Amino acid sequence: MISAIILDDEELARQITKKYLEAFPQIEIVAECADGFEGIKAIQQFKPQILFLDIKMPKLDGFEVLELIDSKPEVIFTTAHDEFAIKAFEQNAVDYLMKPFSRERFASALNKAIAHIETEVKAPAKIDDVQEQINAEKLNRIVIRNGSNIKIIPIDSVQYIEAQDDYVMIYSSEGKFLKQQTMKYYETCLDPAYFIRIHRSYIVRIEQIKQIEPYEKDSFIVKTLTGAKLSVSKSGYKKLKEILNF
Amino acid sequence: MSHPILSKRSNLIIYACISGVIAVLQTLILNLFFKIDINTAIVDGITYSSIYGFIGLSIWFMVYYNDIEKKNIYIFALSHLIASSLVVTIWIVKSWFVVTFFISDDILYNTFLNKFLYLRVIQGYLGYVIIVLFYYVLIFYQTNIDNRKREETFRTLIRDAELKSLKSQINPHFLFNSLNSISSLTMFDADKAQAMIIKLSEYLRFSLQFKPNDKVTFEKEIENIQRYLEIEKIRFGKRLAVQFEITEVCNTIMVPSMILQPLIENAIKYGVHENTEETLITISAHKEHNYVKLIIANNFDPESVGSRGEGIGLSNIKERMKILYGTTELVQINKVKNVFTVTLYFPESNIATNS
Repeated sequence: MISAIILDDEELARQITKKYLEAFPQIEIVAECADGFEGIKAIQQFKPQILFLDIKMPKLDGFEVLELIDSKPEVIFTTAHDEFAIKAFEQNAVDYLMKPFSRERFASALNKAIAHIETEVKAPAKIDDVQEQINAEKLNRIVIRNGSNIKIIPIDSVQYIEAQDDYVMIYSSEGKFLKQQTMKYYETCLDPAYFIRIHRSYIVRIEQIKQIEPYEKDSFIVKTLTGAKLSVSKSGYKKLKEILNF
Repeated sequence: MSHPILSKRSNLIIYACISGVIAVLQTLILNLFFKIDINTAIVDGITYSSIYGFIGLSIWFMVYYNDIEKKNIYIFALSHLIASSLVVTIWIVKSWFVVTFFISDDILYNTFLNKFLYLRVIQGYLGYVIIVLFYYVLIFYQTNIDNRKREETFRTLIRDAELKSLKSQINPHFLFNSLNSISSLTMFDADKAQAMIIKLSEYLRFSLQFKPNDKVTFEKEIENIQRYLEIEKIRFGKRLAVQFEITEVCNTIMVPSMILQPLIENAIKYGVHENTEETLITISAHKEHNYVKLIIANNFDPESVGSRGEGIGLSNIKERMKILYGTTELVQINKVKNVFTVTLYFPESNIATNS
C-alpha cells in the first residue's frame, strides 16, 4: 500500500481527487486536510508517500507547508494558478496539475509518483540557488515550526536577521526565532526597499537603523532602534551610503 | 497646412473683394486728392491692387516656411526684409509696365508717379506687413484648434484606456476553480453541476456584456454579485455566508458596471481564502441624501492576513470612481479589529458621462 494525503481547502476539489483515486486500489488515503496547519500535523503523523497539495490555502500556503515538514513525500501540486509552476518544480514536485484536470492527466501524474516510490528514485538534489527563482515573489511573512507549534512572523515585524551557521536567527518585535535557511535566500526574497544586507552575517530593516558609528579602524557598526549593535562590512557600508545618501 | 485662401473658394472670394475695395479706394484717392483723370485713376487702381493681390497670395509660402519658433530672430527678420523688398519692387515695376501700356500721355499722372513713388513704396511695405500678420494669426489660430482637438482625443483615449484597465477583468482563478468544482460535481450531483454551469454562464454573460464606462442599474449590479456569490458558495460551502440588506429605492439608480465585483472578490480573497472559519460578507445599501450608500463588510483572520496594504483591487476602484465622478470622497475604507469595510457613495444623478 502507498499512503497519500490530500491537502486542499475546497471540499469539492478534495472529492474529485478522491474519486480519481478509486481507480488506484494500491493508494490509501490516510488523511484529508482543509488547511495548512491540519496538513502539517497529518503529514508529521502519517509520513505519507504521496501528497496532493493545493497552493492557495488559509493559514499557510502549499509551499510553506513543504518548508515546515520533516518528511519528503512525492508532491503533486493541484492548483488553478499557473504562475507557481516553476517554483513547484524547484521544490521537486512530481507534477503540477492545473485545475480542472482530467482523469488521464491525473493518472499520468500519479503513475509518475508511484514509479518514483517503487524504484526508490530520490528526487534530484534541491536547486538551492534562489537566483533561479524566476518569479520570486517578495516575502510577506516567515513561517517557523517549533515542535508542534507553528509561528507566522509578518515581515513588517522583522527587525534584523543574523547568520548562525546553517541557520538564521530572525529578530522580530515578537521575539527571536531560529530557522534553517540561508542569508542568501533572505537577501533575495526580502524587499530591498525595506531591508539591506550590511554584512556577511546581517540583514537589517532600514527603518531600524538608528545610528552608524565608526568602530575600530576603518570599520563601522549599525546601532538599531532596539539597541542591537551590528557589524558593517566595507561593501555593506557602501550600500548604506548609497541608500541613506550620506 | 494648405494655402488658407486658395484652398477655399469662399476665402478666395473675400480676398478678391478686399482687393476690389482697395482698388476703388485707390482710384478715389487718386482722383479726388491728386486730381488725376478718372480713367487713369481707374486703370491705376485696378492694376496696382490686382497685381498686389496676386503677389500677396505667394507671401503665404514665405510665412509658412519661415517659422519664427524654429529660426534665429535675425535670419527671420532678414528673410522678411528681403522678401518684402522683392515684393514691393516686383509690384511697382510690374504695375508700372501694365499702366504705361494703357496710359502713356498723361503728364500729370507721370509727374505724380515720380513725385510720390515713396508713397507707393510705403503702401507696398505696409501691405506686406498686414498680409504677413494676417497669415501668422491664421496659422496660430489653426494650430491652436488642432492642438485642442488633439488634446481632446488624447484625453478621451487615455480615459478609455484607464477605465478599461481599471474595470475588473474576470479573474481566471475564479473561473478555473469554478470549473474544477463543476468537474467534481458532475461525479456526485449532476443537478447541482448543471445549476452551477447556468449560474456561471449568466455571470460571464453579464460580465462580458458591458464596455468600460457603461452604466447599469444598481439592481442589475447586485443581481450579478448575487450570482457570483452563489457560485463561490458552492465552492466554499460552510466557509462562506452572505447577507444582503438592500433598500428597494436604491434599485433604480445607475452605477458603473462591474464596480462591486472587485470588492466582493477582495472580500473572498482576504476573508474566505485566508480563513478556515466562517466568513460573513454583508452587503447593504440605503439612500442617504442624494446618494446611495453601499457598504460591503467582511470578517477576516487578522493572524493570517496581517497588515497588508489595500491592494490593487481597491486602488483601482478608487481610481475608477475618481475618473467617473471626479472626486475621491466617494470611497471609504475601514478596518476595525477583524472586520474590513468598504463604503461607496453613488450620486443619484449626474454621473459624469463624457461620451
